[in-house]
Amino acid sequence: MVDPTHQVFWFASRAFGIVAMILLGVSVAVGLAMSGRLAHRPGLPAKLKHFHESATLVTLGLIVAHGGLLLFDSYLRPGLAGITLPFALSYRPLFTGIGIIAGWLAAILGLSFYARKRIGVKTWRFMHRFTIVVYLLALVHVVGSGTDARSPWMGALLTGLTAPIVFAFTYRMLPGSSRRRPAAARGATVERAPAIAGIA
Amino acid sequence: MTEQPASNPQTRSTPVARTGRRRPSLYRTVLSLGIAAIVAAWLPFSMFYITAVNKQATPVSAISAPHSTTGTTRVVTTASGATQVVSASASTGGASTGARAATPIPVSTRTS
Repeated sequence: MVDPTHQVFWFASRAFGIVAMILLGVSVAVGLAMSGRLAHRPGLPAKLKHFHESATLVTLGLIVAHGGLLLFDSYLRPGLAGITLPFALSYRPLFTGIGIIAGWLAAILGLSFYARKRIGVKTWRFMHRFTIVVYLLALVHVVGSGTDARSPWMGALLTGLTAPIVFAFTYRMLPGSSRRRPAAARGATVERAPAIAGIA
Repeated sequence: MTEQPASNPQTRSTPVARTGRRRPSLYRTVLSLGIAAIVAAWLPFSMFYITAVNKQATPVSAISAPHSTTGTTRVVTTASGATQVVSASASTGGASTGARAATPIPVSTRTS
């Protein structure tokens, strides 16, 4: 038997990283579904937007927990620079660096929602389109530096997360899909236009 | 999020959607999702912990050397009083001696 007490922070960091990845995937998929007008039912876009915003905020918290818990890991000892500066960590520097870049991008793009009046809705919408890059970088981070990347359950999880995103992204990119709205729904969403229109 | 008409004091503090239903506050949803995320993180955490606990330590004696697998060993005491393990390896045909601990030394490395 091995006493893993000294590894609890390592395990906790990995666990929070996995949950952060799940919630990030769900949030991105919901955002793409909204922007691609996949959800037609009246009232549903507003609910999805509410969930999208909440999930993004919780994801940011989980990312902070994922990196912050590593500070207490006596084996890795990354230091503050190791978890905040890309490529500064000696452990798989490329892939951990990509993860750190993804984390910063997630924070910038996610929190820019609250600064959209200052930066302009148009600029914010343009920025928000790069959220898919955050997911891709996070995916590379998990596959490259994740200790569970080769586990079958992790493969199944990543496939399950990525498939809806690829579908929603493809649907969103198809010509005419994003502006396809029934006339009744168009009139009903006028009031929410500033909030919904922001989801690019 | 949604601006409410100031003339209606009942709806001023509670956001109401066009359908008339109350919209849950962002704080409540974030808190609920956060708690759910922590509970969800418990599953992989416990899985990692249990896997690490159940992982058997690999003793040094189990790491077989190429020429000592078929040999026989015996413990001898030298003139100075030190205990030595004498291995008579069948593959090499000769006896080799080496001072090593009588009990296996567990090799503990970072699991997974």
